[in-house]
Amino acid sequence: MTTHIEAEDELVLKRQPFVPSLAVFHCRWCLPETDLVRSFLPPEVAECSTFITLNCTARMEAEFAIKAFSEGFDGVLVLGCEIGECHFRTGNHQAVKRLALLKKMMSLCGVYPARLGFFWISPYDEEAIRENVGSMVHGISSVGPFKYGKTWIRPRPR
Amino acid sequence: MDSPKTPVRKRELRDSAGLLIGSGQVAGVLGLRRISDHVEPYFFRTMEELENLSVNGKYPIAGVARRLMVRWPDEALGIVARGCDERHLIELVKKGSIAGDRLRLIGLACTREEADECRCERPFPTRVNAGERIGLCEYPPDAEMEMMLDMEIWDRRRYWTDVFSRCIKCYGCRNSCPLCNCDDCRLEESRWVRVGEIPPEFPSFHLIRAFHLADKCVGCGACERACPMGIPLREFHRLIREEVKSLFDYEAGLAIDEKSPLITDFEQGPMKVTPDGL
Amino acid sequence: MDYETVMSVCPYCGCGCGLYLELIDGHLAGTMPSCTHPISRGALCIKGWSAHEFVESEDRLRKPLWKRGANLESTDWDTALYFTAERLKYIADNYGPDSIGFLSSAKCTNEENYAFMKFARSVVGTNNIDHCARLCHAPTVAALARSFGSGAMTNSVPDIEQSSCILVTGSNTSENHPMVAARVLAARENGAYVVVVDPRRIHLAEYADLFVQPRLGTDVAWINGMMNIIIEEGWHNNDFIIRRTEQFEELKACVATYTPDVVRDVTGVEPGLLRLAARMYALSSNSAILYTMGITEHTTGTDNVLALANLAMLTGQVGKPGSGINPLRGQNNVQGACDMGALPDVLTGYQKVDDDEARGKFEEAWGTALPREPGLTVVELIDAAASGSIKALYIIGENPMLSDPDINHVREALSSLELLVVQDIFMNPTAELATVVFPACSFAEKEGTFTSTDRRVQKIRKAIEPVGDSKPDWEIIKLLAQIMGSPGLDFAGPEEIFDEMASLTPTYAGINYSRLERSSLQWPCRDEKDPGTPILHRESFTRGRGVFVPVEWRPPAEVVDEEYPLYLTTGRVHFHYHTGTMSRRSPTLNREMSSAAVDVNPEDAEDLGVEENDLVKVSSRRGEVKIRARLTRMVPPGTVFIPFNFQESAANALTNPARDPVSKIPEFKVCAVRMEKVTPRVVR
Repeated sequence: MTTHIEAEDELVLKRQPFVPSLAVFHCRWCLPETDLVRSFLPPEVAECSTFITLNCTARMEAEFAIKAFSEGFDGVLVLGCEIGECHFRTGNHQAVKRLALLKKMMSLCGVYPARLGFFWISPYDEEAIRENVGSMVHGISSVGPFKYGKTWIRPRPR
Repeated sequence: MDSPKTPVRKRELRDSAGLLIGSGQVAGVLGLRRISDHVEPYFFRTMEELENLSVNGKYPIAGVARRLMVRWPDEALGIVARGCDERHLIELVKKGSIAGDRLRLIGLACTREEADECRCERPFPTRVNAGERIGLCEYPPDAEMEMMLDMEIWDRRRYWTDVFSRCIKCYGCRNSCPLCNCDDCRLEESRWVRVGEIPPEFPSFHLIRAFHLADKCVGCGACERACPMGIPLREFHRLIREEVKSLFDYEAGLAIDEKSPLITDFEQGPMKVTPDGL
Repeated sequence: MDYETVMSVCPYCGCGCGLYLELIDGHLAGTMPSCTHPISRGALCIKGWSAHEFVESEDRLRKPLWKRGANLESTDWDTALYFTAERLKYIADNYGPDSIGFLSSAKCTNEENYAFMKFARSVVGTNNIDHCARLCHAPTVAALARSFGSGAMTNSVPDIEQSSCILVTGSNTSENHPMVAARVLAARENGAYVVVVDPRRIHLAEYADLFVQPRLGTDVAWINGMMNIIIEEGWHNNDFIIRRTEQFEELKACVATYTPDVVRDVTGVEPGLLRLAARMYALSSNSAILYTMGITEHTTGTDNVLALANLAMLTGQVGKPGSGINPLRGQNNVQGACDMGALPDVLTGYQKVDDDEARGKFEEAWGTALPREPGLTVVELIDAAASGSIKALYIIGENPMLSDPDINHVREALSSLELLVVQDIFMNPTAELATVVFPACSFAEKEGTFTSTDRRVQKIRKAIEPVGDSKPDWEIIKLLAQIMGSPGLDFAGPEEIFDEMASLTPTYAGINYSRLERSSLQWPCRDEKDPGTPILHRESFTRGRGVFVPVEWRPPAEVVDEEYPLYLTTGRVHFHYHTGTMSRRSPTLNREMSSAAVDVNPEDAEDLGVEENDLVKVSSRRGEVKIRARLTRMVPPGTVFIPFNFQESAANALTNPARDPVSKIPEFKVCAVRMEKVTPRVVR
């Protein structure tokens, strides 16, 4: 059974107003309130986004992001403590390594690197958070929704 | 398939295996057996059986070794190991799946033709008992992957959608990989990959597997051989291995005490790219 | 402390992949593909990787059973065998040998099929023997025997890769013949055109250069339409037609009426698309046709295959690598069961029973007179059982209670028999109605041979001892024959059976076990030196010249109307195999798909108010079924699809038993249904 959804051309969509939906994973030690996280996103984006609280960003597995893209989210945002601030001391080290590798892998497979964002945040510097998140949302808006493409017919060797 | 050096290599292999069996240190030697035109994995226990020991044929025999060692916890095994087999075994020891001290390796070096088939950079084990070490090999980048990397990102997604949609979810890639051996395989959980679909959910199935193996894959190509639909898995995994190397300066399967960077912190395993570059 | 790998053949589909059964300490631990096998080439599909899972299942029948009162109780072999022999003798003596019917198994080995048909013909004395090929490729055998003289796949699976154009019709190849689909994709990588013609948007359609979606049951129309275009444009192969065929003028006259506009009205296919398909197929250097049930399971099944044969001969696309007509056989040994003569009108190698010379040869070899009149086919046997002219049925490895059309009628028929003997590895709905049940051995517990879809004879090998008290099927038949006083089946082992069969069958004459140890052989293989025949009809057809048989399009037996406004088509799914007796007991396969779903187009779903996973009731003139819905664009609007593998949502409770007049195959692919949402009752 094929479940490929025909996607319109990316370029056409760039001209239409498009509200990205994000899957947001945030560490409960630096951002304990989901409402606070929600406030960092523009309201229309927050409407169609999902917020998941993690015990530490180290809990972030590749599957979470991959499944999020497969379910149709346009971007995955991970917010965690700065280096040295992790409640579990080195949890965020492993998280950043995993996500760096995941980002490279996904760009190999044709997912814009802008769609996967990982920011170390300090809970006291709301300006910085807003700026980072804002630039990510802007980046995703400009590349369009994430959907399966039509299967690519390769040029025939003749 | 036979090159002029085969008889010598075969003799050396048989002698080494014979010595090992004769010494009584092991319960038997795991290798490949040739019966008429077919090559199959076999557990050699006597000198007579070694007559059919084959040097040709590639098989991810480390997977068999692991299953046997789990079943027979008190036995020592000998194993005929090519370069890739030895790297598999090193990774399995690192994972804790097998005990390294219960294994005796008989090193088999690959010929030039065999290395070219797999585009293998390191077609020899650390200690060679049979065959001649041909040294590190270099290969030009794969044409198909080059074409893919040259594409724009949205075309790349379409390319991989096309390629991975050929998949019929046979699990051949996972079943044949010696390093894919979790009891509760994530690919089987309907939470991560929807069940009962052909082709399986894109990109979940293949990307989850690729990520889990990113720091373990040694590039043996068994996955690609086991794929009935011709998905270029070996080259796909090679690209990921190159990313791992450039990010963490880490290669799987080389040293038993070298831990995977994904489970170490910055003090133990520094990262080349700063997080701001993410 | 044992590790062993035993080379065998996958027991599921007709691809015939070579695999190793892995034995650790005497138990089946897994399977691995054979790297050197020409079909599997180091790969297997998920069913192949799970082929070992059902063998040592707890559900295996371990002891013979017989019916005491309303229940089946365990007994021992002697009791069960003597009881059966006595009853068979009684029924044969009092009602005549033709009151007994035999259903053989396309899963059992060639040796077992041969022994069974010998039992039916020489011990009981009837030609009433048939098997499930009747429900799948009987039209192929009938039609190609008429057109070419031989009813089997003309080319081999490996050489599909050499095609330059592949026409896939009525076959969901990726799901049901994965190794063949792999070759189609490989050919596509090499530049071959892939044309898919199917009412459903199958997986392979995504990789097709051309996807044509005709309406259900209109195959003769579009094929004749293609031939019309080919002749008009002069794309036919004149040289081939003159040298190697007959009756071209009759064909030309017949297809002249199938102009592109007429074809559009009947099938819904646009002329431009049909023209492109015709051009690709006719003008490519090596064009192959692949087809399965979508072509055969119709009341016009034989006509459909005749039309395809006409198409291939018209364009000269037969008898060279990468070309030909390739019916992809379903079961692992359905080709073998047909070859062994487990059919009512032929003996081994398709030698006819009413041909005195052929029959005479067998009568001499077996030392007994043999019946001359062809017997009844599968669906006819069930009808005869219901009407009372058949009193006893002996069924091996078949589950008509799920695989035959109109299963309510089947239940009635089987329940009214005086004796129902079922020989199987698992309990199934058919066995539950039996008088006696014999526990048989699976593919891992016996020696024998299978013949896969490309006429490839391969050996299977014994890996473990028979589970419980089960016996290999040929041994059970031998014991029964001995008790009934006939020495003709006193075989020492499968090899003896095979040798006897090969001595009577010219196409198998050169095959023997020692040759099969080294490699598989494709029949015809006429003597020791013959290396087998990968490609048929190279120089000439089996009957000499191929004959064009013109056919006209007829609509399906049941079309939609006001009361039943949706078309139902049935078929298979990848993860399960046929009636699921083996695959639903394999944890890996069951995990992937544990229940049935009806495929509904989202437009139809919206009209009916049905959403994903809703429970719906689908009903036809024969029965009704409750099943959950799955929304997919794979089916066109106006059509629904139900897989037949699941007992609790049996698609065959709905299907039409109307048959093709020549090959007697039921019309599984087209019938009319109505669908409504099942509203949950409010519990107070």
